[in-house]
Amino acid sequence: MTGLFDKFSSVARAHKAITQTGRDPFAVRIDRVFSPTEAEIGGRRCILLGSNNYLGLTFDQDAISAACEALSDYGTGTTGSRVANGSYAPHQDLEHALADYYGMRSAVLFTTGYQANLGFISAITGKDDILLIDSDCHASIYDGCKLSDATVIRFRHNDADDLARRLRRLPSETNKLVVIEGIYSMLGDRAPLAEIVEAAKAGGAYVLVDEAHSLGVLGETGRGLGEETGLQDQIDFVTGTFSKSVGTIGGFCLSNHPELESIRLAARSYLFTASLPPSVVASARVTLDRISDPRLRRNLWHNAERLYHGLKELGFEVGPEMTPIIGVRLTDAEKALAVWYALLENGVYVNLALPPATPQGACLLRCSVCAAHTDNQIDAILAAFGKARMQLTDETRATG
Amino acid sequence: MSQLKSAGAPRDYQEILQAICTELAKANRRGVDLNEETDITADLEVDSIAVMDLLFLLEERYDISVPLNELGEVRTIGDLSKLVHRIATEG
Repeated sequence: MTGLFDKFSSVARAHKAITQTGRDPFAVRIDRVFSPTEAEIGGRRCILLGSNNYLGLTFDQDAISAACEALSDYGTGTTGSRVANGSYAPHQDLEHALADYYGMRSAVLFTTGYQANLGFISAITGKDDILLIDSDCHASIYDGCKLSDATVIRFRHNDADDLARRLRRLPSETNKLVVIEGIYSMLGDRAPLAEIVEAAKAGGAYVLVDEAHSLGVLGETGRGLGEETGLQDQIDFVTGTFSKSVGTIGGFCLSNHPELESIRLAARSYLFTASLPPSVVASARVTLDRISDPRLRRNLWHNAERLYHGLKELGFEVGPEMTPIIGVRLTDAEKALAVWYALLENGVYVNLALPPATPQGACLLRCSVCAAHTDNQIDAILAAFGKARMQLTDETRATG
Repeated sequence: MSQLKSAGAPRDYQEILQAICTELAKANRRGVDLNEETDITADLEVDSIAVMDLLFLLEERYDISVPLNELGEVRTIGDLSKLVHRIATEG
């Protein structure tokens, strides 16, 4: 009989191989945070380039004040589910504000973005329904599918023709839900929303767009891919998170379907989890108002453009589209790790993303640009990548 | 899940088995004998992404959709061949 922990042996071997140089890229300790773009790591002041803090709102003074006030007024936590312990006024106020912002009928808050996908997807689809998900969807979507009783089909990433083919094979009388993301979190590419919506509608399917990485990033007022493409009214359900552009934590689901409210009594991750602390809700309420400011998006895209093209000029292979998520592709895990270390040594902290957590088995240095990065910081980041590249070239020459 | 029927012609089991072995041979770095009993992840050390890529190839070849829910029971090349064969010949 195999031991309870034997299933982890291959993961443990892979982790050991990565950490044999003495550093663990998956357990970085941050000692101090100076601003949305700088922190102290290993005694060194580092530029944060993997925070998902797209608009740099984590230190918004009004949000901090509102959070402090809510702490005094409501305490540190709700200590239970809203269904059992009741909704605090700030929960409901934030739901109304979110629905107004999107121009949609209703919003339901979850405690995290992960739980929003997990709870909503598993609750809305039953055993006679069919889920069709993009193959590059986030783990929260896959896990929502796993928890659902529905039949789950993957279609090729961003391939509306493949989706259409698969829909054509399905009976028309079956409920179908297509799930995609506004911006995909690893390579930073957008979904081809018009083509996906066309295929979905032709196949009689509902459409859910997870705007986790596109909220605050795309669209004139930052509502995401639906707003950018002018197709918001074609989307049945929007899910998202406050843990990126909104600068705090929490998840949500939005819809014009009046039945959305039923989710509160059906989604297990809503029913059986403590609700968001009022201080978090209060800060999200403030920063949600901030994200429609076009100046933030102008800064964000200015920085993304400089970094994306700068990295290409240095000879790095970057993702297919220029967005604030820039996936720098290295040929293997060893090289990715070497560049990751070199960047940290030079004061830049990015995400190291390795298979199987990445699409197409890619070894990535996942960069996420922030509106609050200064031109000098972008210059420093590019200089650090340049040094890392030279170091890698020298090592490759030395080892033949 | 019988509603996920194939639009293509019914397929021969041996043909599907052979197609799967041919594709897996490309990832067979350890030179493991490929047959119905071969454990795809344990014997071949093929990761989940490679299995998913293989599925896309099989789905396109046989014009089918293999539900993710049905993969939980698949361990061996034989398991996968039977699953693909069943879906490809249903209906």
